[in-house]
Amino acid sequence: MSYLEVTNLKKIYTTRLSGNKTQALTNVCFTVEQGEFVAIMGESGSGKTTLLNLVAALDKSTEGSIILDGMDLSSIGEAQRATFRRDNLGFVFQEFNLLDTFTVEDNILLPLVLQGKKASDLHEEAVKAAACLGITDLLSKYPYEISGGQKQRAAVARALITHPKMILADEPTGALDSKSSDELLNQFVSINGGGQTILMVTHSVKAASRASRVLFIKDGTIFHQLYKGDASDTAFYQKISDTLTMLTTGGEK
Amino acid sequence: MNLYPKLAANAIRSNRQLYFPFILMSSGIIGVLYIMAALSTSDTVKACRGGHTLMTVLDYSIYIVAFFALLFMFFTNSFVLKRRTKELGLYNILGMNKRNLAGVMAFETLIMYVSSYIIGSVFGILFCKLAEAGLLKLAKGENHTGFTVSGHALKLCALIFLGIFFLIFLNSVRVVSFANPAQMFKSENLGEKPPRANFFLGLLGVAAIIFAYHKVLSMDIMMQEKLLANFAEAVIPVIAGTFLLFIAGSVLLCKILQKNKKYYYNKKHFVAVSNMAFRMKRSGAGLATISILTTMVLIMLSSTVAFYSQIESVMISDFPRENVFIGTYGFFDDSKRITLADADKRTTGIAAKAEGTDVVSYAKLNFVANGKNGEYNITGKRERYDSLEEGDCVFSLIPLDSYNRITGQSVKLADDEAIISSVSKNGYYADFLRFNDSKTYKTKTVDFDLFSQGRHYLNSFLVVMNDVSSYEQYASGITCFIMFNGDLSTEQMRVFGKETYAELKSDEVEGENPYRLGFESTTRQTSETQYSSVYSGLIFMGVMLTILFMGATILLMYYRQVFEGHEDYGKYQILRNVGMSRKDIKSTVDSLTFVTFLSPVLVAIAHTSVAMYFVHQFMVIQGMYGTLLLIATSAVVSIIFTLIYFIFYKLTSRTYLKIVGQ
Repeated sequence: MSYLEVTNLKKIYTTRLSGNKTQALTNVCFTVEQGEFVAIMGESGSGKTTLLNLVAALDKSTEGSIILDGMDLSSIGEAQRATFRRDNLGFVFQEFNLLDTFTVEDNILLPLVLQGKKASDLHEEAVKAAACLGITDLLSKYPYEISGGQKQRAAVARALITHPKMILADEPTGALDSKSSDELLNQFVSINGGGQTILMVTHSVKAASRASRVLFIKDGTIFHQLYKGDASDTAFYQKISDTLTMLTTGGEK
Repeated sequence: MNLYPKLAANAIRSNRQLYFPFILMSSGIIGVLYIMAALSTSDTVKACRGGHTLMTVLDYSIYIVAFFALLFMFFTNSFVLKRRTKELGLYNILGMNKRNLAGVMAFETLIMYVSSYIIGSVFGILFCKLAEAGLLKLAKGENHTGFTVSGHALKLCALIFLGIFFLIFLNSVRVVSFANPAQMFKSENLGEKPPRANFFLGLLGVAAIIFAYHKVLSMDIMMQEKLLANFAEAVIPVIAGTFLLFIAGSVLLCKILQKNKKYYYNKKHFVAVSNMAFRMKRSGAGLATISILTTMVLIMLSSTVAFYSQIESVMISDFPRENVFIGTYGFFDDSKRITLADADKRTTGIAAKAEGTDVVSYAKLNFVANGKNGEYNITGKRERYDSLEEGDCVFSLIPLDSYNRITGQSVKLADDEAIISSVSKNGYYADFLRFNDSKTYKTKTVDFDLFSQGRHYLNSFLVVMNDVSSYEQYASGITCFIMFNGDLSTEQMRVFGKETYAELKSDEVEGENPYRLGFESTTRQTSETQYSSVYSGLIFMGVMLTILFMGATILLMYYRQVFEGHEDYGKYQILRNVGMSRKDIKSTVDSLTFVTFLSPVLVAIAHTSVAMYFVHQFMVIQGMYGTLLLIATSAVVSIIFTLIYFIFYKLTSRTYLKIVGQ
């Protein structure tokens, strides 16, 4: 049994007023093994974000099942979902999503505080997580005082601090310059090297080329997948790029 | 140009969450103003006793209400405007110039004006009769006329609000013409600096409030002339202190809480406390305003109600008989003097002619003496004309035979004995009395209220002794009283008053240095209607202003919830992602809004309790001793206000939860 199993996933949105139905995901099946770094690519509107929201238990699927480490997401109720997210998942977003009202340290500690950890252990944990990402000297700063790359690293530290089963990243490099993007991706690779499972949604070929596997999604279904295997970043980049061209020009599989 | 009205109507419709409450509030204010204007010219009010005074009070209140209306509407409209700059910026980018924008806003303002005026007038006309009935009940008048519409009130409301809306329009144009489109279009939030806890300002706020509280609580009832001035001096520090407390003090408190790791890193407090530190910096001023408005409402309502309900008891102690005639001989250095015996003889002479029952007449000798605990020095001041200082007491001396005559007793006193009664609240606590270090009298204290006509705010004492003649040289004046029960017509009062005056002045000859004879004749009835019409007018104004303040406070609350909701939307989205459940979010929101909305009320209640001390002093000056009544009234008023406030807070906090996506 795989670590994450997504089977026959379907999601239909109904517009509230007109009653029109939009099928966001038609039939999605894939699996992720423990310790994998998987990227999901696709155009806008292809259903990437819907998929991520379902895996994050932020939304409920219309049909199908998502099983993470033996836990069936469709079977847990609304109240437990928040706890599930808090204890099992870590999030990294395009817009960093740090809270302006907290210092970097408090932002990183937020999930732990929500878990009800003892106040006395917290500072040590924050320092540890910050050290991993090289932001120890930023701990007492507020988000408005630091750069985008630093904010994203703080967000990664926040995602890691609970030692989650899986990190979900939604366009993590989308708002970063190329240098910060490279640094962040290096960090992802090194975190992944430590055994952390990562599921990343992205537009960027460069970001995807650092993953160990890339899933392509189109019109609500998994269209294709590529394994990196022993290929170099550059070779894998070329391969992904070719696949994308094929995908958009409508070529055969 | 058909576009402007269309765009304007559309803007109002699509921003109804902002505009409808605003229109509702201005309608409410127009309704209140209509009622006051209609009643200030109503024949029914004019017809009731003291109607004239009542109408004067109402007339003044109209301007007070209009002034507050202007403040509130300006304030709330600035909220509305802030929310709309983005939309106006879009119009600007799409090619409308500032003139066009002003055109759209002119129509928007016009639509708001006309609709508020129509709704408000309907409100006013419908509730006017009810308000009139209430006012007449308070003022003890009779209600006969039927349903009427006051043209005067309609015109006045139309004019006042035309002015207010015009000012609002000018302000909107000002805001738009100074902003550039890119700025207008940009979203509000770019991340903000954390508030700095300013220890100095926070402490200054607390200190200002403590200073003001101390000032009020240490006020001396003796210094009655300075009482109002002292109170006014305390008001400014309280207002300043409240603002500092909410703006700086609250941030300070949050910072202190954040320092306490155990408290801060708790699921329940973590988000709430850090949010509050930011929130308070921006909304501290708004909360302080709410707090001060609430204080005003509480003080106004509880004191007027307490005063009103004591009028009758004051009247009975102020007017031991229904009709009272008082003549006062004031002595100056060069003026002619009259002896107490002569004055007494004249007084009893007139009293014999009085057509009434329970006739009482006497004359008393007055002087001012300074001292305490039985030792006094006669100062030669005149109680009426010279300002009194600390330790000054007014003594009135009455011969024993007058006392026995009035009370119908046959008390005997030794030459070194005196009966003493304090008509002030302070009482007389010594067992002896000595003036100018000369003769010492053994005193016994007696309560007699028959003489209490006089000024209660002074330390004034009535002293009965066998022979008062040795003190005549010190007297600053002699007061003669003639009092009796009986229903006198205005004409009879006038005639008897004239006779009395003539008799008291009987030995005056032209050309001599005259004594100054002050004279007044009043009936309990006229005085009572005078008082009750003033207080019922004040209560009425209090209720109207309360409705207004409440409306403004609620609207302010509502707008804040809407604004903060939109601002916080993203924040709660993040919290949800990180793993905060709906329940956790709701409890955070609850504790956050609970503190921000209840804190102004709590501060207001504290202010009110202290202010009640002053009101109490003031009440005593008016000869009212209903301390318990005052406490009860203010407690009841505070509780009712808090309840209503709480209900509306609950209602508006739902809006907030809805916006942040619960």
